[in-house]
Amino acid sequence: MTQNMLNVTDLRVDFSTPSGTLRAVDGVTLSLAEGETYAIVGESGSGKSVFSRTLINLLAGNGTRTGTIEIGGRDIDTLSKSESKHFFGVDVAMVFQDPMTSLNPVKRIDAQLTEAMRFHLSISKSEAKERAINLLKQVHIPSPEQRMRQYPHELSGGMRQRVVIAMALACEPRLLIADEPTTALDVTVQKSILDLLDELRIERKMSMILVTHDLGVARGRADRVGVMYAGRLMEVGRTEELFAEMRHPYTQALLQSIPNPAQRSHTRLQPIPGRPPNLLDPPTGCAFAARCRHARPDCLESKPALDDDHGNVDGHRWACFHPVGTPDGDAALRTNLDAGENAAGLSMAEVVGELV
Amino acid sequence: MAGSGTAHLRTTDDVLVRVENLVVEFPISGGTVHAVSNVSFDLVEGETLGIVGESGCGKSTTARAAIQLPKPTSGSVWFKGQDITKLSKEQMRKVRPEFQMIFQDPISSLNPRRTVNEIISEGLRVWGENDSWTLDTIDELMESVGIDPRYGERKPHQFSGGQCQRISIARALVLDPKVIICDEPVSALDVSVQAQILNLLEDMKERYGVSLMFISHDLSVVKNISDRVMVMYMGKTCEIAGSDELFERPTHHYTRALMAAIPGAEVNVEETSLAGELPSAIDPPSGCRFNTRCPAATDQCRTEEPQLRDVGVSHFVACHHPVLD
Repeated sequence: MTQNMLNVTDLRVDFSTPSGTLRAVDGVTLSLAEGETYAIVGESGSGKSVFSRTLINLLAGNGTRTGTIEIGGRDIDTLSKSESKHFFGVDVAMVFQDPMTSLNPVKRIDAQLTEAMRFHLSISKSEAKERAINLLKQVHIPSPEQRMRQYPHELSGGMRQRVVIAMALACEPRLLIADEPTTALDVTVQKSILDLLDELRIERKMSMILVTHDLGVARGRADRVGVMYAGRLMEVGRTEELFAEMRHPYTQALLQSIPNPAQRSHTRLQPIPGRPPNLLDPPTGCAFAARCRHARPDCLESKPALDDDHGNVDGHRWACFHPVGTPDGDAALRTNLDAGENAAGLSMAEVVGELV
Repeated sequence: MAGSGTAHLRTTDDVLVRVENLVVEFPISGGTVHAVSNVSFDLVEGETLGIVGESGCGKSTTARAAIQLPKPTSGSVWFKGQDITKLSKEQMRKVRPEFQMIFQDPISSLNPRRTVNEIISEGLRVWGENDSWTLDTIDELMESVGIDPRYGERKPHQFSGGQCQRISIARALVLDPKVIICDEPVSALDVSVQAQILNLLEDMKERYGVSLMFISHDLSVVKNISDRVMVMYMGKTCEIAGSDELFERPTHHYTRALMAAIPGAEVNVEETSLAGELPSAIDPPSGCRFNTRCPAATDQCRTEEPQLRDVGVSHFVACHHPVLD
């Protein structure tokens, strides 16, 4: 077996805040093979951005991390100070969400593109410039020489995101972390940016972590998907398998809540009732139990682990005591329907809508 | 695309708003921005018209100009038998309660220093309804949008984004309007909350008998909520049809490109993705405005502007070479 590009083991991130400790990432373990795309899907506040920033050592000052992160076979805790200076941004790079704010508005594109190259690779100004023009060509920006002299405000949103991608690629990273790279963009531009990322990933044999709230993007672009909720991975698996046979009630609820263009118009949507838990005072049991139609008393007592023992070869795993589509899960759903509420006291009428 | 024409306008009695040849231009130094050029559409009672297009295509400007915010450069807007573009300021003020808006960012569209009661009831105060009637209506309205009336004295920052959007909906409904313009009302919300708000809008439409103009860049959302959908590109109408009809048989190359770009969806549309960037709205391309990016563009498209024409069951397209099966 080839070596994994990324191994994360039992990662936890705590933030100390005035109102107490907040655990934003809670025991995430995942691995990413070379050339693979892994999508992390979740709603706002699920910890997906904190997770991705932690991977590239961008943890806010009040945050502490436990657990290990191995990138390209190196445990990042064993890097010396001088090594890590030329590790983050070189071996692993990041594309940020908002192309409007992740570029410096008062610097020209050339200055922003060459800065990192000159710092990390210690090359001459003219060499860096030449490489920058090449990079702009690779991200399909027409007349790159001209663009180099422009300021970010002279470019459209899609162009700016291409520049941000070019910056991330400048030092030829082996792992690219894209945090909602297309959220601020139109669908047509989104498609071209995602196509570009795919193309570059294949060309350079990069691995990619794609953080998104859009299940459609994850479905269309990732080899594997991890669904995150309240800082924990709820379900992980190969994309086709996860979407074909979703086991976690949260994954199912998330998918049912988005409008599907294949359905007739005015199809009633099924929202997820309630709100995510307060992470300053997390529940003892499963974080989703309060909103879950499968929740039984045992869900409130302990957190289900993301287990390996489901007998699935492809690594489809889920953290649920009563998963969707299993006899046990069906029984839990039936019991809750009969009782009219789930174990956390949520009215089932609200969850299931008119479908039952 | 880039089409003009009024062939798609309906003549039935229940037409509530009829917009004809709407033009909005903004003078800037060095030229004129052609934001909306010759767009016509109508809205029948109880209908939801979805308006889709990329950013900068003029979809918000179109809906806003229809309610005279800003006043259109030319064109007419018929509402209840009168052309509201010709009304005096005072006459227009009297019509305004019939049109309400819901904005994209639920938190910044509510005044942070006012209580929810004050926010929702402001319209009633302005229009001089008496106080006892006010309180009852407010409580009932809050109940129906899913906000506990006991929270009436709270301020917007004490609510989540989804709840703030519910408050905006209540504010829009309080004067019993005929038309609500929803400008990207769910774009800033999480998917699970988005579903709640979309369902709520459907319920409110039913209950209070309003018509909606629903502006969004998200095609799946627009398909779900709309009866009729208008696709816009660079200030022109490309295609307008019933929601299901449009998604089953998109005929305009731009509509097809948009649909092919929906991530992860199983939409049965083969279309190459769009090349190039949006042309400048100061100097739009001649003929069909889409010709610079269209895979099927010919010389005719570069010189002659296509008119909206009928290609199916109240399905209209402005294209010289539409994809018809």
